[in-house]
Amino acid sequence: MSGSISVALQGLSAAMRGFETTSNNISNVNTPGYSRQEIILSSRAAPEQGVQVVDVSRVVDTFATQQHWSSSSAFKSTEAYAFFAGQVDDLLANPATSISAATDDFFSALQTGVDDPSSIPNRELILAQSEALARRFSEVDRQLRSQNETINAKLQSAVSNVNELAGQVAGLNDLIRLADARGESANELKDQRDQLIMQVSEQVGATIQTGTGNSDINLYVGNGQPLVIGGNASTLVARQGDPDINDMEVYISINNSEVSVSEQIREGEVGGMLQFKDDVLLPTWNELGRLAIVFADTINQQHSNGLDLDGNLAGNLFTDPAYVGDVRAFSTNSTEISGGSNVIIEDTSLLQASDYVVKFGADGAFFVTRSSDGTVFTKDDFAVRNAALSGYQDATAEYDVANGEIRLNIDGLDIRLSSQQGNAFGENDKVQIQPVRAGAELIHMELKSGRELAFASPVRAEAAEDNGGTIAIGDIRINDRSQRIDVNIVPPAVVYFTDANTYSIYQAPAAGVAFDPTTATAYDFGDDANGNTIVSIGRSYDTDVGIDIAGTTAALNLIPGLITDPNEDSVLDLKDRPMQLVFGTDGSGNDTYSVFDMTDPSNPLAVSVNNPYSEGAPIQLQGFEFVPEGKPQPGDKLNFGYNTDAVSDNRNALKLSNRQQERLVDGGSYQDNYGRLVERIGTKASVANINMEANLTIMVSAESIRNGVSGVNLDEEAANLIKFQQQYQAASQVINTARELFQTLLNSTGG
Amino acid sequence: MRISSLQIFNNGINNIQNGQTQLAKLQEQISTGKNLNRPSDDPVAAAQILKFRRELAANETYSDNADVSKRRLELEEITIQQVKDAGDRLKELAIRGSNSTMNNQDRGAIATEAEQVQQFILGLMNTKDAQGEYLFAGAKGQTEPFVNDGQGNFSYQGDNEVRLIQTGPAAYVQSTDSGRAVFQTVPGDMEIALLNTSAAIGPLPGGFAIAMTAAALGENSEFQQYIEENGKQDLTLSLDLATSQYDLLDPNGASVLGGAVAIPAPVAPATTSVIEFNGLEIDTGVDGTAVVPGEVITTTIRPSQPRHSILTTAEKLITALQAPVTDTASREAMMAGVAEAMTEIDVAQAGHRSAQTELGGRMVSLQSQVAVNEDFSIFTQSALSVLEDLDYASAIAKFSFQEVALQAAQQTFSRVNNMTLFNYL
Repeated sequence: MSGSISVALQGLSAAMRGFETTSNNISNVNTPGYSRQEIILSSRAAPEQGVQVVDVSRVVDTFATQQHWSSSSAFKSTEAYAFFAGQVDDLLANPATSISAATDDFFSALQTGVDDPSSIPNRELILAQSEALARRFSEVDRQLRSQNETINAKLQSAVSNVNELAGQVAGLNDLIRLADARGESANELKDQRDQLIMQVSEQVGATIQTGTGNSDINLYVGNGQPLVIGGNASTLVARQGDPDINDMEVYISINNSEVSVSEQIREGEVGGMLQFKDDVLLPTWNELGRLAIVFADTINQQHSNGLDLDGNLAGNLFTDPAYVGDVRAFSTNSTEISGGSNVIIEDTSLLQASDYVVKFGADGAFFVTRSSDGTVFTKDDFAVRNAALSGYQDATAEYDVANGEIRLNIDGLDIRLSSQQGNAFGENDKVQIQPVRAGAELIHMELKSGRELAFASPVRAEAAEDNGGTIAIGDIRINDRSQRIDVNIVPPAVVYFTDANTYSIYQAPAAGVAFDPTTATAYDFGDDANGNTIVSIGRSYDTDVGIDIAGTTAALNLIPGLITDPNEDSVLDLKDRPMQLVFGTDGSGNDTYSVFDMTDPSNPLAVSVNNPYSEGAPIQLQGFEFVPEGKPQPGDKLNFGYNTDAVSDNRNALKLSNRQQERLVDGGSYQDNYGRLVERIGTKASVANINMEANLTIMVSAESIRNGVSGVNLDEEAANLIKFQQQYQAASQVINTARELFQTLLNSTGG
Repeated sequence: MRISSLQIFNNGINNIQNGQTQLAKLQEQISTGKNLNRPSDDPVAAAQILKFRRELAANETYSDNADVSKRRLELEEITIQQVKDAGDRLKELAIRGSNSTMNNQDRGAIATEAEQVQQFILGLMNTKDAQGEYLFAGAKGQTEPFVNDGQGNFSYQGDNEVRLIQTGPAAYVQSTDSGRAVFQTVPGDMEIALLNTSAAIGPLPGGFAIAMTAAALGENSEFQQYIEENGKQDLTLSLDLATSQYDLLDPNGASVLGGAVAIPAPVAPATTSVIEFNGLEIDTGVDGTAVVPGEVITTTIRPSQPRHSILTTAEKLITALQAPVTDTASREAMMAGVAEAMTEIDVAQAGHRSAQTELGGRMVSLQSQVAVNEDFSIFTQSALSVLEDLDYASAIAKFSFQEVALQAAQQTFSRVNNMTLFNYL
């Protein structure tokens, strides 16, 4: 009898526990991360019999929980990426901030200058639009910069948050291990820990591993760097990057040594932001910088080939972008890099939207990594630089290993690095070069007044009035002054071509004196190593070898009659020296032309005579060339002079405005290039949105699986309530029945 | 499958939120009328839209350019027409002046009227456009192009540049003409210049002053005919005083005389030798007899035939009419002068006409370019519209459908959340 009561009591107590558990579940129906609990009952064996509560356990499916963690870290990563990419996307395409729209405005304004080159209001308008375009570049740059700063700040707060969370996970690991050892319930602690791990996953993404005795959970970030091992947590550090302080990096500090994990964390919000920086922000920045540089340089080139309203050869319209590049040494270098190290942009047609890292190896080896496509150039990819010639020589290097001096010409860049102490560069020393990053920031309009805009061509070219033939002057191209080849010899020399295959080297005339091959003095090179005189007159020219001067060569594509002279510069010479072309025929009736210096009109000085003429083949004159059209009659003349008083000339303005269509950046026009950037970023943002949606679906589904297993269902709990109530009532009934039985027995015995 | 209460709740909320997001997006599209509101909506279309917008902007500029050019060309056309009309008047005056019934006084009056016409033409040729630039000065827009030196010689001070204006992606129209091309069309007399005359190495017999003497270089002169037959090339005169011979060389160094010829002796009363070649007479400045060893003098004979405008022609007419006729010779001189002026007026008028024809052609092509631009603009607009404009019918249909779906989600939400076992306890 008492056995029954005791069994019933057990039932009562089990029902109570069940009731408590149900009640707990109901209370926590809305608690985030709560896993429903259930009581585990088992029957007792004879002789005691009855029921016992073995455990109150959490209903969890470890796989579903982990699935939930990893899917949320993937979602958070794509969410952050999509958020920032969307911002850049809007920034680039919005007509209010678009570079393309400002470029349209600039060229439209320029057209008014083409229409009416002498109009001062038009010129001021163009100046205002140039200024606006330059400002638009720097404005977009500023927006990107501020986005970078936002990300840096977010990285920092995310990292300190993760450190906090990781510490708590480690603490909970200890407590849970202790509770498990004592056989106490750690359900709530485990729920708490799951919640924390979830938050860590959302921030950086973590790999989970069950540790000691199934009690600990260990977390790893990146490529398996331990964040939490049992009761110990490592620290993440976010700080200024090396060597670019604006490019914040994330390090993990394990046992006081720091390892960068920026390249490895791709999960969670931090991963999304880091990936966004690498994928979108920095490439966009570089692309924009390059566009600004190419734009400024190509517009400047054309602009400085023209005459302003006052008849002066013009300067740059925008800041000369040659010097906007940055050189930064890594802090880990063993040799200090001299402050004189620099990068100069020499040829914008070769320019890439990329950063570079130069790394020094053993025995004079070096490696140049182009970050945009990851290409690594080794020493063998560079030819030896011709030291005697200044100027850019593509894919060449000049490396003084012992004294730590290197000069590299690659992708239009002239990179010069030297060590501070003048000794060799340390092995594995690295230097980062950012040639274009600051391009958009540093572009400014340089002119003060609309009068300085160069719309006129410097050359006044006219066919003589009494020409009998149809000879006409086609396109006049001013030689690009920056592409002159300077020959580093003293005293200065003149290279004079008598025909396409023969040239002579003369001493340059004194400044201001016209060069005359008939009276010029042959250059004296002295003797060569064998004691033979080095010939300077009548050398034969081989295009593959170029001009050979004192053992050094430069490949030149030259035309007969061209004078290459360090003193002679440009079309400015026309000011003092008008030129005349007189056509004739040679003995066989072929057309020829002779070039005369008309400084004294009654005493024309022959510069070159009886050159073969062919229509359409450019004729090179001092500082410019032109394309002749039509057929001359003997005695026909073309006159060339400096274009004074040409206030209504729009030839240079037209050439400036044609720059809009020219393919100057990566085989496309300025705006094609910008359009490609917008398309690229748009695609990235669009893909990021699609990924985000997909990851959201996966996360929601993982969450429902997890909640399906561990979530509280109120109907179920209501049923449980009924179940435990019935159990309780039944057990009470058993006691009652037992009491009645006992009473019956008492009554029957006691009378 | 088991489902937790929170899930039921969250799913309901999520469904409603999704519905609202869709509705908001549709509403944005409907209210902006744009299918694409940011590039990520459709990156490829976004890049195309950018390109189309650029083309439209450029096209608008081309149209503006065409308008500006049209105005300038019209002004030019009117001005040239007026010059032409004035030229007709000059011709009338010339015909009247050459009438044998006119006396000196009558001709003087006609000359005075011709002067006024000349002044009128000068004003037209120095017309300024709306910007205050001289219309016919080439690139030297602030330099008065036609100037009288005070002697009735009008010279052209401008240059020969023209202004090209872009009216299409690859279409340029010439929107100005230089005064030289339009007006400087009347060939004048042949002129001879002696260039690069070499210096003598020592004192020469008879002194040394090589110079042109007789300039029988009029229209039908012998030398003119020589030039027409042989081309207007430079000739090099070489005087060899050692042999007392001279030679004339073409630019290739070949003798045009078939070899050196003896320098002729001076013809009295002159004391220096004069060389004659097809009507060209050059005073060598030497007496042609003395032998000076090693002395070779060269000079380049450069013929040229400058052109002038109707202004100089008018001056010729005025001069001819103003010269008093006293005898037959002076009458013939007057008649010849007037006849020459009339011929020149015809030449000048022909130049004006061809300039007008060219202008007309340019204006026609300008107009057709404008039409092309308009077509292009319409075409691009419609392509742009396909890409970025909203299909309202489908958007509104979608909107209504979303609205129904959202309402359903909201209604079921409360119904589902009302269903709980606790209601029955």
